[in-house]
Amino acid sequence: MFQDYFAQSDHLIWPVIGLLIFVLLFVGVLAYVFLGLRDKDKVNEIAALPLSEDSATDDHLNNPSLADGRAP
Amino acid sequence: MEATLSDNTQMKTVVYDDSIVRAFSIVTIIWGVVAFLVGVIIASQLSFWQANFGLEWLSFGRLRPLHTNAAIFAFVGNGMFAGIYYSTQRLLKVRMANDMLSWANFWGWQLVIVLAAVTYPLGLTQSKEYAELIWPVDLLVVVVWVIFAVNFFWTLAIRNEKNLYVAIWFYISTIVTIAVLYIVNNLQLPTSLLHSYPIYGGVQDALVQWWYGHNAVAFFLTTPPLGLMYYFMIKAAQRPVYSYRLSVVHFWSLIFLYIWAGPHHLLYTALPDWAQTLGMIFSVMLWAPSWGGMLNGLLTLRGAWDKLRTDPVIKFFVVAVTFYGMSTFEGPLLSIKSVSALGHYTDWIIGHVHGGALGWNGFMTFGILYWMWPRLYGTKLYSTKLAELHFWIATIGILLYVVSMWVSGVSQGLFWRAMDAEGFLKYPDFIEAITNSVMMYHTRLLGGTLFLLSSFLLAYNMIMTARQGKPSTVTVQVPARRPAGDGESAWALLTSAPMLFITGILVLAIWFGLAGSMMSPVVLALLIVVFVAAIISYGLYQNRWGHWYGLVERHALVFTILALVAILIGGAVEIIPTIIQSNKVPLEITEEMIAEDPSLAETAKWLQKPYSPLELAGRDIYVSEGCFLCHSQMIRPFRHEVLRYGDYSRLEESLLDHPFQWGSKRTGLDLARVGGKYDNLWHYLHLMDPRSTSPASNMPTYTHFKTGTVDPAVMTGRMRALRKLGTPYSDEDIALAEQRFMSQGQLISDYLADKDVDIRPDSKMAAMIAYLQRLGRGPQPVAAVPDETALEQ
Repeated sequence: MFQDYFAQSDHLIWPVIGLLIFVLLFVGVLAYVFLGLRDKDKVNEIAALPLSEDSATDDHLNNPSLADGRAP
Repeated sequence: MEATLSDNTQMKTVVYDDSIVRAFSIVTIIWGVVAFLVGVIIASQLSFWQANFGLEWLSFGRLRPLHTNAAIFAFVGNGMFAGIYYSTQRLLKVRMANDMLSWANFWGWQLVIVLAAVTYPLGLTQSKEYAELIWPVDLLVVVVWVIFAVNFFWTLAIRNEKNLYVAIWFYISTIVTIAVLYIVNNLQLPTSLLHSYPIYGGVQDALVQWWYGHNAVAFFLTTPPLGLMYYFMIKAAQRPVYSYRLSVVHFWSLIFLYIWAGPHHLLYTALPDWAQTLGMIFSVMLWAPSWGGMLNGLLTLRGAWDKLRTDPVIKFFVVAVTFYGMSTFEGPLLSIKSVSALGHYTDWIIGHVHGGALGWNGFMTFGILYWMWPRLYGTKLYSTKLAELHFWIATIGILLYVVSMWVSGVSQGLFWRAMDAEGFLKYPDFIEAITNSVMMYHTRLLGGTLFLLSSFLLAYNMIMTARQGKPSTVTVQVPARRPAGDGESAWALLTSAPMLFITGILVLAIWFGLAGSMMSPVVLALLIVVFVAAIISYGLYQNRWGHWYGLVERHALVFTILALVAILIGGAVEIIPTIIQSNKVPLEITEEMIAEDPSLAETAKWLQKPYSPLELAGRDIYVSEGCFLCHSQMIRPFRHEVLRYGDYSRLEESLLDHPFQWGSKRTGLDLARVGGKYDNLWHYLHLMDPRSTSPASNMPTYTHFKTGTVDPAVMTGRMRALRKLGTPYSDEDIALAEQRFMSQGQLISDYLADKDVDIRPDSKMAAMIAYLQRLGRGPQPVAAVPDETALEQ
């Protein structure tokens, strides 16, 4: 049967490799965010990037009613 | 235009291009109404079969792709472009790189949509879900997507903000992944300007299609709205993202895991078990990043929940993210094999899809439009009350829709599998599951209609808002900054220690897969050594490692390469082994081969034989009409399915099917073994009027099969194309194609003439009957007196 044919494939190692790569990289990402990202000021600055434009954008200056970021 | 501040920082004046955002926003609303309207029409056809008015181009099978494509690519797609063009310029503090490219993207995308709206009702389709477009339009899609990509990456290159915010990461992953998915899944061999066969057949086609299909959901309907969520929710709430750290984990784990999940659409089919299990495991793992993203979105509203009472924008966003959480809980749940056994092929899947597409994507798009539109016209929203009304009607509508589909879906699953005390089907008549669902179909129709009506409120509100304002031009002063300065070159990044370790781990992992039994322990040891060395290196140089990822986030090219590698791993691991193995499968098995390898005898028993010219013509009509949208051709290995439909489907039975037609929904019976179950007259009557043979059926009539004809000369070219793709047609098969086409048609015509029914031998009806009678059986007679050729076949 073809299902057996595939089940006995030499290529079945690839899913395991893929899983292994994922686990390694996932651990790496976790290590980075918990240990590498220690500069709180920098993190806060990036997290607030969408808000930083408000001070520079003149649509709020032209339309004070929109300055709270929501439709009135 | 540049100015200098007192601290010597060079300032640039940037004028954002919001005209392109306005254009995409307008068509989002227009196509949204169209998508919902077509959805209501086909929902009404399931409640009332007459709702196609007897017109072939309004039949369910032809309109359903129009509905799904309009909702996904026209409504959500245009909304995505509007949001991306708006937020990208502001996050990068620069105008889009090239206005001409922006407008080429806009008009090209609208042309694709219009061509889809014309071709689908005409029955011009590949019949691969969400990839139905015919090949010339596919080429246009690729061109438009490349234009969008060039414009986007060019804008990244000239940006004035050095950091790439999380929303931009999601946009990058969308652009590169959709390009890969679309091109790989749409590789096809044209037979004419309007027709082609996919290069993949059977199980290969199934795996590639659902790798694409599921990731179209992931990278068109999930990553762009997530990027937009990370921008517009923050703007609406006026709060920074809850956790930047969580967004890093969310992004990388989501894009890495999603790409593996496609096979969960093929559980218990003839797909190899290992691929099914892999798809299930990675789907379940998706729970974590999906909910991480959802929580990151909802918790961004911390301290701003009071706005939920007064601000319709926040209302839309909260419901959207809640639906995201529900859908991404339900998806992995349905991917568990035992749950899939119940839910697959039922309306439960339809409810799940609509919860995601309309609840998550739809509400997100509505929220973005309500937030963005007044700003694009420098005014206030015309009516907050109308927006509130839109919100409540749409919410009630989608809830009615989704809940009714849950109820009918679970009911159908239970009906189909119910057994009596003797172990036989309790409800052997399939139609009982449909008649039981009629009330739920009516409820769905009501829910869909409410959703449609509510969208008119949006359109009216937007028109009135635009009328009271005028198109605004946003000009900002930003510090001029070149992102790739300070020695942060791509080469320095690519040769940095973290990148070298990542590359080393990837190379060793691949080598481990290729190595034989002698070398693999050595490679594994090397892999462990490199991993430990990476940990030590990190311990010694923590600052550099921490700084490294910060640089990656600022370097668009390196970031894009890493994202591309992440998505390619999953696809390659699943697809390449299947393609390599499938290509080793013999499509013809001779006695000599069986003598050499006796295990091939069982395979030979099930191995599919090529279709006759008339059967192939019938199959092409079946594909063109979208029959697979209601009829599967895949009997799962369950007792209740075997009792109802016949022996379970084997992988080798559909190897020559380009495209595969396993289907994903059963509004009607599975047809894998329908051949020989009924006589030709039954099929004729059923196609002319399904109620004549199945009184409660909601299937459309196909009277045009009687009047429509097929040109037998066309089949010669199509058989040649299939031979190039591996179908073992002989020279004689192709030379005699027209003759066999007509003689087999004559057989069917003569049979029906004896029953006082008159059809032409070259009619679509004859072709469809020939194809249906072939399903699940070997070659059928093509001439009244079987000639030597037919016997050989």
